[in-house]
Amino acid sequence: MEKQIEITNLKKSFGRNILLQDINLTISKGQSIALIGHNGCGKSTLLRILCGLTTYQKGNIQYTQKLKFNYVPENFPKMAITAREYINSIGMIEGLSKEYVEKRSDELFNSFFMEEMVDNPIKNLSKGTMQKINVIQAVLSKPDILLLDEPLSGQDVDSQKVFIDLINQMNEDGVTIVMSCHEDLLINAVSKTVYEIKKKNIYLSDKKEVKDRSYDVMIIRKVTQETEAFNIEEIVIKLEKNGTDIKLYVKKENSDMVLRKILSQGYELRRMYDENI
Amino acid sequence: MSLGGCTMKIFSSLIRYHYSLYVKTNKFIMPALLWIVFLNFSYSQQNRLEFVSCTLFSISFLFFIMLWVAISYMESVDSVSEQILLLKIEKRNTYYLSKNVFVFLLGVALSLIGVLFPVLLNVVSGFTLFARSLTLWDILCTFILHIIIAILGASLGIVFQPRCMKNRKEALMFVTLIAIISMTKAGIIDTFSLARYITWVFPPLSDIILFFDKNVYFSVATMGKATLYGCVYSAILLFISNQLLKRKLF
Repeated sequence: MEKQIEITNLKKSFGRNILLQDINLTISKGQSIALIGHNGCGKSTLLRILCGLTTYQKGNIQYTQKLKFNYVPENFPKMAITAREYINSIGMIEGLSKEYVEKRSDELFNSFFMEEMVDNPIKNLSKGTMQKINVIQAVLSKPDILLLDEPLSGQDVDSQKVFIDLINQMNEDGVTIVMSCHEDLLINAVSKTVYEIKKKNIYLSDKKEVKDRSYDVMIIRKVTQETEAFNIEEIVIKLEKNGTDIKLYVKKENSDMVLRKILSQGYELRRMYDENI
Repeated sequence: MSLGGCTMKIFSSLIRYHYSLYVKTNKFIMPALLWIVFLNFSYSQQNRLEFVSCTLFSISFLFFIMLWVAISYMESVDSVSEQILLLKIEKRNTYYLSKNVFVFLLGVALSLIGVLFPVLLNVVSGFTLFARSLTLWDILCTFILHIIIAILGASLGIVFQPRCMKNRKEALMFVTLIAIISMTKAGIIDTFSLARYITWVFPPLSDIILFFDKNVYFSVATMGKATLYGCVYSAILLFISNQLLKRKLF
């Protein structure tokens, strides 16, 4: 694959606090990369370093060509202008034609179920809707690299599906995707490569590990006083007691077994759903 | 579309974008109101005034007003939306220049008010407001001086924008101190002659005013000197702010 960015021995610190050290990473055209890691580990900073919005102390970033980045920041600002005014302005600033911007923005507003909100000031919209505007400004034109920083925060399920299709389509069209993300659903649906930032460094992560973080959650309750004590702790990932209810986090492959055991031990199943933790 | 035409289109779109955001913040109302109150206070209850002295008094006040306008504008610019825009534009300097030009345009608008107000008042008062009759040259000179000083004040404010100096308390303290020294440096040098070796680094507001001291008419030579001083100093300030923005990033 054609190399676009090569990072070697990069170090980023804030004052005396070292955030990233000895980062080595190569990004090639058409890749779809997810950056995972705990809050504050440096994912967003690395995204901003990639596009030259943040400085770094040591190391080198080599761009093999002049690249156009589009960026979806984590928190979109509350603006007094309307979504339509903002997107039209952004399109014109990007040098796109007025006709194209109007047509494309209408398509995107419709896809994201925003038709009735486009003429409201952005500051009056919900966090999820603001995040949709954030995404729309980034996909208005085709960049070389699309940087996404927690792009799904606050978006409804239907819009999440629209977003995933849109990003995958762009990736198929040759746009490189680099995304900082916590949601396994999104990582599995969009990313082909996963890197984890931990202990100030970056490690290639097995995508299967990410999938394994998806669990079944069972909420159970005692039916009779004569319920037996649990003997399933070893196959339950996490157990939370909340009054008479007990919440169990179980790996998907163990769900059937756990279910049979709790029912046979005098508990009833109140609710069950899957969750990423 | 040609490359130049496309750049101009992007530049004018940027100016319109800055305007649409700034106009919604209402941050222009207070400085504009204060400017009008000042003009009204300066001209309405007097007559037979010296036109050049009035211009010097007016530009001194405009310097502070534009400092306020530039700082409040730069503080109103959201850092995240700025990051999005910087990536949308091929050359970052285009974005920074558009912001500076937008502030200068606000300065031109205030300058226009500052020139038209006394001229119209003079007409209304039956040409008795000033000690002598005004010529087109007088009006042109006062307009140019207003614009130069407006740009000078704005440029000083631009250097002290949040991205260049994060600590806002210190930034406001420094900028106020610099503005006061710029205004009073002639007096400071009169009292402490050694101060001239330090005060030359401050904006040449006091120097420009001194060029016209006791003049009743605007001469071409003095106007040229004032324009040169104002433009060169503003250019230096803008160069410094550009370098700071390039180094500091986000």
